[in-house]
Amino acid sequence: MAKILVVADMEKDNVSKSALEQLAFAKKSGVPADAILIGKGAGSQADILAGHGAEKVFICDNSNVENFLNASWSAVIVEAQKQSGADIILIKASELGKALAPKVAGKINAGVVNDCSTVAIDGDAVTVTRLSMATKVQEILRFKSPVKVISVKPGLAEMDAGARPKAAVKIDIAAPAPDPKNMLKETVFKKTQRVDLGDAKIVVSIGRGAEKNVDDINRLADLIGAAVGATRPVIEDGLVPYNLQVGQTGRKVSPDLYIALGISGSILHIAGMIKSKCIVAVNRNPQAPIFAVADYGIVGDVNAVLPVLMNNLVKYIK
Amino acid sequence: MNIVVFIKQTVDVEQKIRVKENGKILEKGLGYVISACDECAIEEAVRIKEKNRDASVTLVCMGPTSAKKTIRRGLSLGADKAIHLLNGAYNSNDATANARIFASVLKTIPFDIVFLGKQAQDTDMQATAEILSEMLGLPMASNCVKVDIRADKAVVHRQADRHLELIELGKPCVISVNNDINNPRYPSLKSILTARIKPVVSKKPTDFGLGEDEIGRAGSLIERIKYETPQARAAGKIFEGDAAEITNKVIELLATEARVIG
Repeated sequence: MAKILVVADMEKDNVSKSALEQLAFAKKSGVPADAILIGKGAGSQADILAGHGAEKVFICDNSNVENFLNASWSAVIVEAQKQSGADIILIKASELGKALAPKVAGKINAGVVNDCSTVAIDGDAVTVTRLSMATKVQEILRFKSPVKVISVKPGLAEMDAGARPKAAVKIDIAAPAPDPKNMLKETVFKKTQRVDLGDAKIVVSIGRGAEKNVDDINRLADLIGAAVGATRPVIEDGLVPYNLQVGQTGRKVSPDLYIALGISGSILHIAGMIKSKCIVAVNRNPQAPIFAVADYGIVGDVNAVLPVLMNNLVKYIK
Repeated sequence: MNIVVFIKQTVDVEQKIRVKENGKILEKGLGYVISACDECAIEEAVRIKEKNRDASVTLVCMGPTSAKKTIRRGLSLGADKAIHLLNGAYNSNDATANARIFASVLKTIPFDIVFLGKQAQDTDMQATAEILSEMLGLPMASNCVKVDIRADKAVVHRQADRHLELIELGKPCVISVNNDINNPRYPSLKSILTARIKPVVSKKPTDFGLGEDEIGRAGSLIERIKYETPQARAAGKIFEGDAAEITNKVIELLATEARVIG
């Protein structure tokens, strides 16, 4: 009988929505689930995970693993998997999760698939779908190993918005001692109050054709509570920090609204934003490939369109 | 100092890719390239070599006979020699089965630093480097955008979700690199010619002590059932004309039709 272990992560001080979606997925699939939450203050979130259906909540509340180092996190997850007896480990397909999933798999000789859009559990058989080749094709994969490690994109299932916290069955897991050969020395955050790309409902993205408008685009993002993204050339020109790159090898985002400003739409960029619910593209060139994926296209100069967005889009934002 | 770089030849994803009715990729006419992150891994290794006169760069490429092209390309960027793993019947899309082969190779050659690309351009999976490091019990960092090799350690910058992590790895170690780490050079005519005479050893995946059931399809922990063509997005509405007018029209549609704002 299948059993799921959800690897829950924290977004600021709360358990991530993705983890709650994964618990909802377990319930929908009729598969029992435990959860593991790692990080300082993790214990305070256990009742929320229990309310969303986690039978047991494993907690590793320790500063040794507070900052991500896949070496220590993966050991903690492996310990939780052993105690839980789960044969399916679900992790959010973030930069963290995609590095963590194969580390966990490598430790226990489990099969691993990153970046899955769907997961189907039928008895002991587990099948997943994911996009590959810069999202040009979808592949369907099947696991042959007894234990399966799967990183999943947001939206695996609708989280139970009405769930109330309940007393969790908590199990503490000790953090491994720090490994002197694999030490996190420093974490560098960019100073920004802005919402993170991965969580944003609206993303405003900068391409070569909008390089002169970076300041105004930042202002627009602040006005409408959006995150800012950019294409690789803009990052390379040093106008926007690395961690805001949207694309095949950068961040893959799926906001409700993606506004592409001055972006021609290379396949590598499109691979990072094609899953957005609604795409608006602004480009002077009516032949730009971005228009092929846009729900709404504005053929025009970013200089002329941006002030209108700044004045009028904000009126619709609650 | 010995640097080993694992590289892969992949389908060029810039071209049109079609899925046949039997769920396989239509391979006829497809062009192949060196995977983007792997090319950056070679460039990074060569830059380290240029700063350290005793350093040597070995490429390991698993792939069919036609992957020779990718190996020569890698050598023309400045690597010294290469091992070509002709996988033939042991071809697999499973990172674990492939990492077992790579681990067995590393048990037979000296290394201080192992580089891999963060992900291959065809599968977009990201798993081989991580699994390899677990199999060998080596320190490892994924998705690095800066690498600084010191006497006894590697200091790397890892791009995480919201921040950069500065990590110190004891040597030997495994480092996977993002394609933001550098811009690979264009090889000169001289380096292309020199690459032709650099040593390339052809090996079979079973030459390093692994059994046939540990690699290829038999040793894989996942298998692909088929490919499909992803559902295309519905055609959008494209507006031309007065910028203010069409922009306001689109804003209105976002609220009334798409219902993503308001």
